[in-house]
This record gives sequence, C-alpha cells and structure tokens, in this order.
Amino acid sequence: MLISLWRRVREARRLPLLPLVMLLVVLVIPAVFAPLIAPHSPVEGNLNDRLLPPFWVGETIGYKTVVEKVNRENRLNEILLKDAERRIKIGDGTITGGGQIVQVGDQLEILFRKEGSTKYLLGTDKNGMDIFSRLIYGARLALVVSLLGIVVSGILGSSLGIIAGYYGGIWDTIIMRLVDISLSISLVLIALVLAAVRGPSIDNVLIVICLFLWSRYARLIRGETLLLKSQDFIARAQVSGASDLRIMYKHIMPNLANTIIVLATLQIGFVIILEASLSFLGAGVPRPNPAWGLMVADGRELLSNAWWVSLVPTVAIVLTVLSINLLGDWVRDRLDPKQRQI
Amino acid sequence: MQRFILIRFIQAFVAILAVSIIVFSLSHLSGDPLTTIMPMGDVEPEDIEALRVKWGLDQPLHIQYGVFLKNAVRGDFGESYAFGGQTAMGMVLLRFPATLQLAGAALVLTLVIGLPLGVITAVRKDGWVDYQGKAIAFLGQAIPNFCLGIGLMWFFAVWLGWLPTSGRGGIDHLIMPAFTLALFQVAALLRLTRSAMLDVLDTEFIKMARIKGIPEWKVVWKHCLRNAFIAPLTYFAIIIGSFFTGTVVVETVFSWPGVGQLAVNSVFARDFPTLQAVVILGSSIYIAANLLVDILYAYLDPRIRYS
Repeated sequence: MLISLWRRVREARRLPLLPLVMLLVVLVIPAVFAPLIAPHSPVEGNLNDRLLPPFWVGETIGYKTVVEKVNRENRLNEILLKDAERRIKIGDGTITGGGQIVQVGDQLEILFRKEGSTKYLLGTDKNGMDIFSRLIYGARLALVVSLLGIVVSGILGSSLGIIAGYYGGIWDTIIMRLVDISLSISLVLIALVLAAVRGPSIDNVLIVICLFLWSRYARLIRGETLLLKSQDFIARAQVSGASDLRIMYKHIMPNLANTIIVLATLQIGFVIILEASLSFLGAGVPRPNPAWGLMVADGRELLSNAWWVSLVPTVAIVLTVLSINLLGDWVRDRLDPKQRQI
Repeated sequence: MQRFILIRFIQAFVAILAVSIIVFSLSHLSGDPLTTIMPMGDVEPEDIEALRVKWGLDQPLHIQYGVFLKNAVRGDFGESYAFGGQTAMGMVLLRFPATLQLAGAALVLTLVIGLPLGVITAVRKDGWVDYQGKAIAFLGQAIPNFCLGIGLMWFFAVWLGWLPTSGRGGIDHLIMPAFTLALFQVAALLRLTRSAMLDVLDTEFIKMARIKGIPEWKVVWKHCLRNAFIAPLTYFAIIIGSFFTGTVVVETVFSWPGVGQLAVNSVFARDFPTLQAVVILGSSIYIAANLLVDILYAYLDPRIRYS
C-alpha cells in the first residue's frame, strides 16, 4: 500500500509539469471557459479604442512641434490650440486628440501618448477588438479544429491501416499506393487551391488535415498489424471461429492503442501549426474569427507601430506548440519506448 | 535496382497525375470561373459566351481535363485572369528567380549550420554543446516558421533597426527570410547528422584510425563524416522539396516577391491558371525531390533495393 503510493508520487514527479501547466493556461482552460474568462466580444470592436497597447505599456508614439520659440504670448496660445492641430500622422493612420503639451528647450511640443489600461489587458487591434478576448476564443478554435482533425484522420487512417495489414493482397496494394500519393503531395499548395475555390473556411482546414494526416496513421498501423497478425493469439481466434471484424476490433485494435495514442499526441502540435499557418496565409479560418494565425497576419503590417497585435498571438502559438511537443515526447517515452523514431 | 527505380518512377508519375486531377477537379468545383471574374452588369452575354468558347469552358469535363493535361505538360496553363495578357507560366517564371535565390540561401545556411553542429554534438555527446544542440533541434522543429519570421522581423528590423523589414533587395534583405526558411531543416539535418555520426564513431575502423595515431580532427571530419554522410546527403533532396513549399509562408511574411507570394495573391484574385501553374510546378518539384531521395538512398544502401 505504502509502496504503491510512493510509486505513484514518483510517477507523478516524472510528469513534465511546466509544459503541462503552460498548456492548461494557454490552451485548455481558455478554450473550455472562453465565455466566462473573456472580458469582451472576440469579434466586435470599439472603433474609439483602436490599437491600444497592453496594460503595462505607455509609450510615446510621436510628437509635433507647435511653437518654435516660446514667449509669454504663445505660451498662452497653447490653450487656444485647436483640436485640429492636435493631430499626428503615423503610418497610415491619423491619431487625434489626447496630446500632452510639454516644453522642450525653447520649443513647445505636443506629445502623443497611448497608454494601455486594464480594460484591454493585452491591447486592441486595428478594429478596436480586444486581443485578450480574441486570444481566448482563438484557443477554443485551435483546440476544436486540431482535436477534430486528429480524431477523424486517426479513425480513418487506423481503420485503413488495419484493413491493409490484416487482409493484405489487393487491399494492401490499393491503400498503400494511396498512402504514397498522399505523403508525396504538398499540403499547403492543395490548401491554397481549396481556399481559392471555396473561399477561406474552417471546413477547408479540416478537409486538408484529414486528407493528408490519415496516411501517417495508415502506414504505421499497417506495419504493426503485420507484426501482430503472425502471432499465435490471432491464429487461435481465427480457429475458434471469430469473424474478421471481431478479430480486428477485439484482438488487434487494443494492441495498437498505445501506438495510435502516441502518434495522435505527436500530431497535435503539427496540426495546430498547420491550422495557424493556413489562417495566416488567409486560406484557413475566415475573418473576423479569432484564429491565432489570422491575428498574426493582421498585425504584420503594424509591427513597427503596434507590435502587440501580432506578437501576442505569436507567443501564444509558440508556447502552445512547444508545450504540446514536450508533452508528446513524454507520452511517447511512457507508452511506447519502441517508437522513439516517430 | 532497375526494377526498383522503375516502380518509383511510376509512383512519382501517378502522384503528379493525382495532383493534376485534384487541382483540376477543385478548380471546377467552384462552378463557372467566368462568372466569378467578370465585372458584374456591364458585360454582354455574347462576350461571355465568346470567352467561354475561347477558353474551352463549353466542353465536357473529361475533355477539358485532357486539354488541361496536354497543355500542362507543355507548360501552358493559359492566360492569367488577374494580369491580362500575361500567361500563367510566364508569371511563375518571372517570379522564379526570387524564390530560387531565397531557397538557395536557405540551403547554404542549412548546410553551414546544420552539418557542423551535427558533427560537433555527436563528438561531444552529452556535453554542453550537445545540450545546446538538442535545444536548437527541439525549438527549430516546434516553432512555426511564420511565428519565427514575425519574431525576427520585430526584433532585428523594428527593435534594433539592423535589417530591413521586408521586400527584396541586397544581402541584408535576404538574411531574415533565409534564416526563417532554414531553421526547421537546420534542426532536422542536425539530428540526422548527429545520429549518423554516433553510429560511425562507434565502429571498429574509427577505433583503428585512432590507434594508428591519426589526428582526432582528421578522424572526425574525414573518416567519420565521409561514412556518416549518406543519410544527410539523401536528405538534401527533401530539404530542397520542402523549401519550395515553405517559401509560400515565408514569402508572405517578408513580402518576398517570389512564386509563393504569387500563389497566395492568386488565391485572393481567384486567378486559377496562375494558381494551377504554381501548384503543379511546386508539387512536381516536391515529388521529384522525394523520388531523388529514394533512388539515391537505394543506390547508396543496397539493403533497401532488395527488400
């Protein structure tokens, strides 16, 4: 009793805590509790609050000299400065009002500052949408798309892999040739064609994931099935009159569960990257949905004026993928040390 | 061997054919391409009919596919919808040098960084360098390339102001896109070279070489690397293939005027001929690279061709 408890604690200690916590904080908790956590709507913006920085940033984004040589008379004039003069052009946009007047040497300048507030924790984008809320709903999107893709392609690929391995012959040939074709086609290019034809949509991402991911499962599972098939317990099941379907489902499938789980965990990171990349290219999730890749793309042009618009989702993607890959490695080492190569 | 090569050639051919079928059938899923590209209202129905006949869109689908395939083999994908008067293939070829430059630079970076790092980490196994190498390998394969690109762009172009943000120009324009494109493959090549080197370092003839008193650097860089080179060498083709699809993302990040950017732009312009040209050409390069790997591998490692 005590020994088994001790063992459990030791097992738990080996669990990679940092990536696990990171994954929970960045992806899982936001995804599950999105409506509870998000302070604002992810798709509606307030146009008065465009491009506000995160709460810890208050930066001077420009200044304009209004008076060259200060004397008493034009010192008074500062109060009369019309609103129209309190304008500054930065990049493509004009920022109006809010200027703070300071004296620098002999000159009088208006400083234009934007300060973040806790109203928008991570700032806003060019449509005045709250980045924090978009990030949270984006986690939901990323999680749903990747899990759906993994599950569907996993079931499809594993079934075809077992069929190919178990029946062999013509089935094996057909399925494995399809696998070869699927593995030799470039994903991104086909996704682009799909986007051009149907317009960007979540369905496209799922179609691309399923069309191409199944083959990885099929190839691996077929190999494992071939090894299992030659073992005695399968022959005994056949002799005792079990149907093919029963053998595949009751005898082969349970022996492959670990392999399938390992491959699936290792694929999640890949799928999240794929979804984000496609959305970044504009071929994945359509606007104004809060997809992380889309958010990065939206901020690309603004990088020099409003870095937070694209850097915040970039950090979210990198943290998510890093922690998923670390966890995936751990799951693989625990469940299936043979498979170090996949 | 000949049989193996023949089978692989047929497979590659079937794969390219499959791509052409996918591309063709997808392009025709959207319905009539003419209605999507014609400005609304101010076009006479007769003009549309004339264009339909001119582009062969009035023919049955399988005949259209036959014509499409016949022309595709000759590199003729028709006129670009978006850039009037230009052929789709011409547009691609116009952009090709930029992509070639980017991919070439990335290839050089991959070799210069990945190969030596792989050798050093293998020689100093479990040492400090090996530890760093593992970190690079892990990060390189976990960070999506557009995230890396945005991060680099912000740090080096906006924050430090050392490099230009985007576009094509001198060497300084090339550094960030090439590195972004290369990092994933640097990580892959590092791992591959390391494990190949570890295998060779363990063999008898290396021990023999050391006993004979050959200087250590010569043992490592000449005797070992030459024997460990098979796996990385065959991997080059994969690298080249992946660069031509990886450029789609990297070129979009850095506004690099290459084929990848053309592909993305033609998605938004619904410029099917150009997109078809890019996809079929890109896929062909990718498939050809894979084919080359298999053949090289079988040539260098007899166990494969006889299995």
